[in-house]
Amino acid sequence: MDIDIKLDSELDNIFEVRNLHYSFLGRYPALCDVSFDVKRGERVVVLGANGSGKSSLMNLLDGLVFPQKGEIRFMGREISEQNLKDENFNRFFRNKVGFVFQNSDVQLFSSTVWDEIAFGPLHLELPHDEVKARVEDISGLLGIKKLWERAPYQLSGGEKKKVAIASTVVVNPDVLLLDEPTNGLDPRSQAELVDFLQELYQAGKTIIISTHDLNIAKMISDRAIVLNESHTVEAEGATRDILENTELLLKANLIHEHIHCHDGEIHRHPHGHVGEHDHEHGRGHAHKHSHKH
Amino acid sequence: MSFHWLKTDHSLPPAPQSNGAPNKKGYLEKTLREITSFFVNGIFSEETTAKAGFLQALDPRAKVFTLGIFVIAVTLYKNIYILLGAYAFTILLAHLSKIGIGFFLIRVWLFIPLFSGIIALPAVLNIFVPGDPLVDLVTLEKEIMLGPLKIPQTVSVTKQGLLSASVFVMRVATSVSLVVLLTLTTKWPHILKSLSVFRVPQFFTFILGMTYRYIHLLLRLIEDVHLARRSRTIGKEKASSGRKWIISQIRFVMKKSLSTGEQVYSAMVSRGFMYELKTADNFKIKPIDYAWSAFAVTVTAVTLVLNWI
Repeated sequence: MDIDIKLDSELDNIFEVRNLHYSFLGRYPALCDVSFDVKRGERVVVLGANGSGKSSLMNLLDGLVFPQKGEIRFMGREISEQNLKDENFNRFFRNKVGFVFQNSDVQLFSSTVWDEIAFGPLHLELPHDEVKARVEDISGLLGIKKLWERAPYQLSGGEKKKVAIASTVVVNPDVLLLDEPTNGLDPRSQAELVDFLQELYQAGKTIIISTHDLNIAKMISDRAIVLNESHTVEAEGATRDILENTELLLKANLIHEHIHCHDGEIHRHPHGHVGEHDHEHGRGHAHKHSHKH
Repeated sequence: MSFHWLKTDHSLPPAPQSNGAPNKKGYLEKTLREITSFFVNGIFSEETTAKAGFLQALDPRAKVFTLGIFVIAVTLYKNIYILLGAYAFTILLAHLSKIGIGFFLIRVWLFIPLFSGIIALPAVLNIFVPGDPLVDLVTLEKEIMLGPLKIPQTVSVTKQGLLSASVFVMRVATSVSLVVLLTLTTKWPHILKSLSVFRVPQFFTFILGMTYRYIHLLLRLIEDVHLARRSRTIGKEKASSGRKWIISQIRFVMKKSLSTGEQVYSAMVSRGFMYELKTADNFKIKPIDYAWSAFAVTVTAVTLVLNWI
């Protein structure tokens, strides 16, 4: 679909976030002076403990709420209430940016799964035949064709998440925002989601994920932005480096000191949502723990 | 902070023997269960919509259209024999649609016509519909005037009164049967979408669909909260504290529904919703739908003509 929007499509930065301040009801701060860029085709993870402002940031990036101070630019144009009232820009932005909500129940508002997946493309004014073809394709890809006639309340958590992802990806957005996508998913559904996100990344999509699950962060991102409990950016860098910085992760409350006992001896070491860790114990003997979450 | 109380020995005495009395469920629990089951199974039956029957095979639009004109025709029939024929036809349709006849009759006759029967009952008496007496009920000393109402000396069931009451009850029973047939053989979302046949605005049907969907969600939430509270309630509870809790829950659900509403709106906006709602369907009209619609229109026209002759 050609939409006549004058944007700087040559810009390398998809999102530019500058000195963002956002608070609930003007009183409870959610984000304070947050700045970062997201480049085209990047896989970025926003890491932070519960209440650090990750979900608010995702809502702001999707133009669902607006900052009290600072600005967010999408391909050079500011995401503001005024700009999103412009029907042309709104359609353009909604076409380019897809958002998978943390709570699938609020995202799945239609009466059947088919209607849910078709909602986005219909509202972005794709021809009906194209809508039907896309619903068919994405459902086949995610294995949810059998759910078409089902109502959202009849689905399991994993199925709901798949439908939510299908209903977002079906409009073929360039940027995909996912808020805590692995929350409440069983290990197999998590693995399927990771595989699907890898495929989308290889197809050139920009992916921004908010999570506190460090294991997932390691698998699906190259760059990490860490929000601390003061709602500011604590650190930004390569995911691998961030995840190796124990002090930083402790400070951001992403891992905690785990105290346990081996051979009658008490040990303490950092512990979080990571696959496994090595650590040395006293008296020169070392061993490895495996933690599966 | 000391947690010594958490670490104390909790070896309990043996569980007391049950006194054999059945465990009574509270009215709140019963009400919640009933409301949930009403929404899940009461009106729409997923089980019967999935059966490979005659009405299930029709396009929902054809079904809504034809059953709709049948309902209109039924309200116009005055001839009791045509009404009885129409009612028998609904039973035949139920049979062809693989709906158990007993289940179908109970669903139709249990409530609505029962109430309409109570309304129609006075009409059988010569107090309201004068006519040829069939059975004399009471003989008074003389005629009594009650305002505009004249009570005759002999109160009796009249032939004309019985006929008009029967026509009324049969109209209601047949109309309800047709609606029950529609809801038992068509999925709720399909019924809503098919209402566009009657030019019902899409926005209206979409809101209805969403209401139905979120009533489910909120009911489940209320049930969970109630069970969570029950699991922590020890001993018998005072009725007043139960009432207080219900009031607090009404406020909680209200708040929850408002915040859910806001989030749902955000989710809609995020996928391109601005002010206008757009929907599509993947219904396919088949030759059988045309044939059935033509049959329905013809039968309705013929029976209406016969009714007026």
